[in-house]
Order: sequence, then C-alpha cells, then structure tokens
Amino acid sequence: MRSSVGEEVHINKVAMIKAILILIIVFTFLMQSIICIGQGSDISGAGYNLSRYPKGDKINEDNNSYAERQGPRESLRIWVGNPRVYAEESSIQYWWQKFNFSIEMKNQNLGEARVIVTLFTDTQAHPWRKVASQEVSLNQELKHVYFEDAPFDILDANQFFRYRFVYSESDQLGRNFVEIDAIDPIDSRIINYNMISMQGLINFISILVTALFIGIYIERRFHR
Amino acid sequence: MRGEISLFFIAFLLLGLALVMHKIHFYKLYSNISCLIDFKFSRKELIKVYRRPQGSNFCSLAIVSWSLLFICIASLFFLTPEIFGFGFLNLVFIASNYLNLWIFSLLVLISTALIYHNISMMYSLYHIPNIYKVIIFYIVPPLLIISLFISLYLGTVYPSINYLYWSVSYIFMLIGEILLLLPIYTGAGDMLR
Repeated sequence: MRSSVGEEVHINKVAMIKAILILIIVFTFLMQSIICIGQGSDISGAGYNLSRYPKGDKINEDNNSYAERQGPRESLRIWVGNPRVYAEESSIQYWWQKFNFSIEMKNQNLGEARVIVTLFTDTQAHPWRKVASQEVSLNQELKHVYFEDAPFDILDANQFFRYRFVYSESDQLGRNFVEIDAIDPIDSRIINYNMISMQGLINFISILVTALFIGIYIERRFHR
Repeated sequence: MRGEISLFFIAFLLLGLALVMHKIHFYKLYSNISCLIDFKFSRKELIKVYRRPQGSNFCSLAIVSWSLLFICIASLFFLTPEIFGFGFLNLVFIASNYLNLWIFSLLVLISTALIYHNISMMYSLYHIPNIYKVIIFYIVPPLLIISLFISLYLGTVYPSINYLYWSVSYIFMLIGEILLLLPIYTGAGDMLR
C-alpha cells in the first residue's frame, strides 16, 4: 500500500509538470498567433530588431571590404555637409525608435553623378553596424539624402553612438566618409511600452489568466 | 538598496518559518496518532486519511493567490537589475519580446510549480476557520493583483525609480503573504500549544 501511494504521488507530479509544459506551449502559440493576426502579420515589435541584423565580425568585414571596394575616385569631387540625426517620435532617443539620419550632398562638377551612400552606426554593443545603403543622383543643386531606420536594439540602451556616411566618391576634403558623434546618448529606458497601453494590459491580463487557469487546473486535476 | 534586500529576506523568512512550522505540525500530528494506534503507517497514508477537504473553489483560489504571490515577489526584486544587480530585463532576447512580462511570469510559475502544487495538500491538514477562508478568497487576490500591477509598472519605467510605489507594492505583497500563511501559523501554533 505504501509503494502504491508513493507511485501515485510520483506519477501525479510528473503528469502535472508535463501538463503544465504542454499548456504553456499551447498558450504561447495562441498568444503569438493572436498578436500576429492583430498586427496584420507585420511583426515590427522591438524584439524582432534583434534578428534583423547579422552580428559579430561579419559586419566589420563588410564595412572594411566595402571601404576597400568603394575607394575614392579622384576624378569626381562631391560636396558633403550638415550630417544630422534625430529620433522621429520624440526629442528623447529610445533604442526602439526610428531615427532619421540625413546629409546634404551636391556634385561640384558639371553634369550628374551617381553616388552610393551607406550609413553605419557604432555603439559599444554593435561596433560599426551597416544600417542601409542607397544610390543617389547628384547635380549642382543641394540634395538631402535621408536614411530612416531603427538601427539600435536593447543592448544599445544608455550608450553613446556614432554614425558614419560612406560614399563612393571623394568629397571636398578628399575623403569618402564623414563620421559624427551623437550629442546625446540613447535613453536608458528598456521596456518600450507603458503599463496603461494595449501591450502592457495584454501582458498583465495574460499573467492573471495564466495564474487563474493554473489554479483551477491543478485543483481540479490533482486534488479533487 | 540594502534595505530592499533586507525586505526580500523578510518575505523569504516568513515563507521559511511557515514551512518549518508546517513540518513540526505534521511530525507532531504523526507522533500523536502513532501513539494511539498499534500498527505502523506511513506519512503519506496519514495525509490520505487525515485530509480535511477545504472546498474546491477555496483551494483553486488559494493556488491562484500563491502563484500570484511568487510572481509579485519576483517582479519586485528580480524584474529589474536595480536591487540584486541582475534582473530578467538583462535577458535581452526575452526582454525585447512583445509578451516579455508574461514570459517572465511564466518562468516564475514554472520554477515555483512544485510549491503551489502542494498548497492544497498543506491547507488540508489544518482546520481553517471560515473567516480565514473569506479573507483568502476575497481580500488576498485583489491585494496581490494591485501589488503585481505596481511592480510591473515599475519595471516598465525602469531606470526611473519611484520608492513610494515600490513600498506600496511591497506592503500589499507582504500583507497578502501573511494572510496566505495565517492558517499554517495558527494551526501549527495550536498544535504546539
């Protein structure tokens, strides 16, 4: 009788752990599905920034090889100036925001020049990460070249950053890049929503529903 | 910060004390009954025979309250790295997920599952007066829900710190914890007397 009671308790515990794990997987799948449907499958949450960019030395390799490949051609001179960056939604720079990087460019020679401009950002967590690249057509009139992107992730919170525009032609100083230190650091706030928001309330209600579900399930399944 | 660590240990010690008192209560019960009867029996058999049903709804809500209590403690002390120097928000890939707070709670629930799984069995060894049942049923869950909301709010505004909110959340959590432990303290106290 003793062993049978012991076995029963043991089986109940193992079954309980299995049941909880299965419920967690099912609930996670359901919640993610609901969120994806709610966003029209446009998953632009903060977490997905993390997988958008490759990590590690490969970025630096890309950067270096790009600079070597796209060395300045002395024959064509462009004028470059007024590089700027600002966060799009507020005056405070949070890691999850879109940033607007801009630079003014024009061709100093007659005619039209096609120049490839590439933007890199540099933080302690992500040294010289390539953000985006575009080809622009320059003539004698001043042209604003914009990059609109969210280049940072949660690791960049509370860090200063630098950014660099690399272009395929040499500028008025004979260089093929311009590099700027941002004045303000990225804000140290980590979570990108308030509790009184859709995301905050979904999280909170999910916690309560999960706790309620577990309570009822354990009592009905194992102790009744 | 040291004060907050002390407060964590107070909450932890209350749980530990209840566990010790429960063990003493149980062994005392076992020795008392084994003196009265001739044949030997195991402790599991004693639990099976001695169990007093406390009501399914009460036990369900007690388990819910206990699971909320563990989430409250974890979110007050381990959500941000402010108190212990490490926190759930240091786990980058989860912290930046859409359901980050829910995932955090799930991790807490999984790691404490064995404790609140046995709560129903623990309560069944005590005579719980109706007034305690009413308190645990109607007062404890709202206290813990408020405490949880405030502590999660503090997590979302981190690194901003609001000590008033933190204190309110802690007090609500502590009252909830004491009320949940009250049947064990009083039951074990009666047995020791």
